[in-house]
Amino acid sequence: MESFVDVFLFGKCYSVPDNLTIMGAMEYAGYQLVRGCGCRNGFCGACATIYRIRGDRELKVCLACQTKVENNMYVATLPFFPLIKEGFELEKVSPDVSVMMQLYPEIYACVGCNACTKSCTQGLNVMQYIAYAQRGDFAKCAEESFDCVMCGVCSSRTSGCRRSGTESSRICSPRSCRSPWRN
Amino acid sequence: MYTGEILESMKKVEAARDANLALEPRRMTAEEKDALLSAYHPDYKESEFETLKIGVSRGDKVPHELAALLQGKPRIGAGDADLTKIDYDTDVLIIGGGGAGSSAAIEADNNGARCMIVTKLRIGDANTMMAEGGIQAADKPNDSPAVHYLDAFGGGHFAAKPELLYKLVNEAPDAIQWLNRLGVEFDKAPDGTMITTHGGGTSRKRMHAARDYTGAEIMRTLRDEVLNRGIPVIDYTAAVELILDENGRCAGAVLMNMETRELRVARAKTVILATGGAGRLHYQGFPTSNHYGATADGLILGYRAGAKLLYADTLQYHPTGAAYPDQIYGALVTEKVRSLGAKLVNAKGEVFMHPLETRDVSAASIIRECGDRGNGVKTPDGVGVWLDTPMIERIGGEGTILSRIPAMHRMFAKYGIDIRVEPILVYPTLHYQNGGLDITPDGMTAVENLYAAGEVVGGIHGRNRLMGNSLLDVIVFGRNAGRCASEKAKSVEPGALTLSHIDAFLKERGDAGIEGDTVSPKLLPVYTHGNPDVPKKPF
Repeated sequence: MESFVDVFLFGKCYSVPDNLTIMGAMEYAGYQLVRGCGCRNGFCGACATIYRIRGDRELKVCLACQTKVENNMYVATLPFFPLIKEGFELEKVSPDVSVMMQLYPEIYACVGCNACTKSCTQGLNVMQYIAYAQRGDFAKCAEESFDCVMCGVCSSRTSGCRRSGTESSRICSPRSCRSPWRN
Repeated sequence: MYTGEILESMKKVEAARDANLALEPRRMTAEEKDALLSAYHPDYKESEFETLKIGVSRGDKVPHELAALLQGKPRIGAGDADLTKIDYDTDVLIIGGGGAGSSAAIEADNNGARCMIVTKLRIGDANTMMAEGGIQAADKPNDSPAVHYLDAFGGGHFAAKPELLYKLVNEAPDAIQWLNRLGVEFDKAPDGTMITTHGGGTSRKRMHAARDYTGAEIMRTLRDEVLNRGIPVIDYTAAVELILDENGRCAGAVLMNMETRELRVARAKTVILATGGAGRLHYQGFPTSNHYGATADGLILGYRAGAKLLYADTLQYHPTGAAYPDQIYGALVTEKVRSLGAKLVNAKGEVFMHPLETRDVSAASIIRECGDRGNGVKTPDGVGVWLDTPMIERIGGEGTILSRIPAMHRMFAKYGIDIRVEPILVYPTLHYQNGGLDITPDGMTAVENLYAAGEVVGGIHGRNRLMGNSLLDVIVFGRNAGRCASEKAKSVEPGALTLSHIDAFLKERGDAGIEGDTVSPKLLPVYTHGNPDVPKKPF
């Protein structure tokens, strides 16, 4: 027997089967997704989503295709976030610490709140690998960030970064700043 | 979290694990495979196919779902787009922003051409991003492109176009080198040697991987390179019809903004279709491992403009799609799980086949085990067999799963299943379009100046593709199309643009008595998850 839960999509309440993912719930409610839907399997990061369970003080983030609905879940999707992608020529950049300073100076404004790590939809240690990047330890940064799906959640204000609105909330999408040190 | 009957069956798998680990299952003979395929493989189910009545491949057999689109109504009429107003003018227009399209763009750029990518979603929203297991190339001392050729030719039932397969295997080592230089972080031994493993149907270890994010790693590297070069990428913009010139050569496309539905005209000297596969057509009701946008658009666009099909009746059902839990039903469980040593086990705890038979044979064998033999495990949504993942840790040592297939661990851990200690349930899922548009070795279709690369192409793999040959195909043939199309563009002067082929197609359709309101290309699937109150209106 199917049971239902109440889910609030952008504030509007829909009753949906409790075995659906958030993405499935949106489709069940009648949304035809164009943005915010990609591989539907946790590899592409297209469906970054913010939610809160009523009564819970904590704002949570997830991938909509990988997360089951819960009762009284308030959902807003984050299909696009203005990240910075700097250009570079792989053959011309050298793998030293100045590369990060030039391309992504904002990571040096990190105050260590660790909100990025707490928000990672892949469970990665984001603050740690950004620390590696700061220090120019690129091999370790590449290793630790390898499973990143580039959903952008860690870079968004919604991760609860206490420096929201300042430079530190613009931390680049970690995987997009990873290329210079690869060989 | 397993409960009830599933848990009971799992205990049998656990009890038999020691014995099953020691077992080396017998390979099937060629006769056994043929009999198995014709009785159980979905491609052999006559009732699921029909014969095309119109177009250049009339008489060919294709799945019903594809026939409806190939013979469907064009999204626009010949008069709907103003061809005198050119919105984009370029040398090489690349339709599709996956692995093949991006590779093509980089090579066209290298060749000095102006090129641009249009994609109905974002660059990188593609099956390439989801490819987990690896990419084949014969670059080890005990291997050679000739051996690679034999493996792929046999695995494809001797149906591959020899000149295409020849190109695939011979350019494979260079493709790996190219990706490595672009920065793809392949799995390597401490001395830098690439780690290679087996896949189904390989006689040498030539599967290169980047954990089980191989496609994602390749795709994000290619995307980085495209963006670093400043190649224009027009996202959320679908091609809805190709444009020809008065000499019948391809000369651009009508584009549609996916959000505003506004039409735009792109003129080009040459066009590359790199639109990918068709899993989202859900042939025969199968779930799919494919990307949201895999709706065979390139086959439709190409076919209407006069490009021939090859083997459009052969699909690949990946033997191991997730069968449980239902939230990930049909999601890919990479073949690498079997490469690393996990065996397929039935509900009674018996190993019922060699885990590394080719994909078509493995899929048919699982369907038989769950069907006539009645040895499947019932799940809320269907049925499946066990893939005994804890064997991997026993064979490769503790930690092997986290270091080699972290995505698989993560996918199941989200639902309370730890694949290091518990096996998983699998059933075949629609995975790959073996067939597609017919091309020559320079990547051109039957329509002059219309090229195709990647999954939209048919004939490279014959009637079944081996693991690791599609990532290879998108790189080799993507680069090839980029080089050839940009070279050809140097000598092309587009004539007057026309959409008159739409009228000709509609006339042929009417003359053949084809009715029906299916509009094509489909662009996106529609899901309502059984909600009776929501109309299932096509996109």
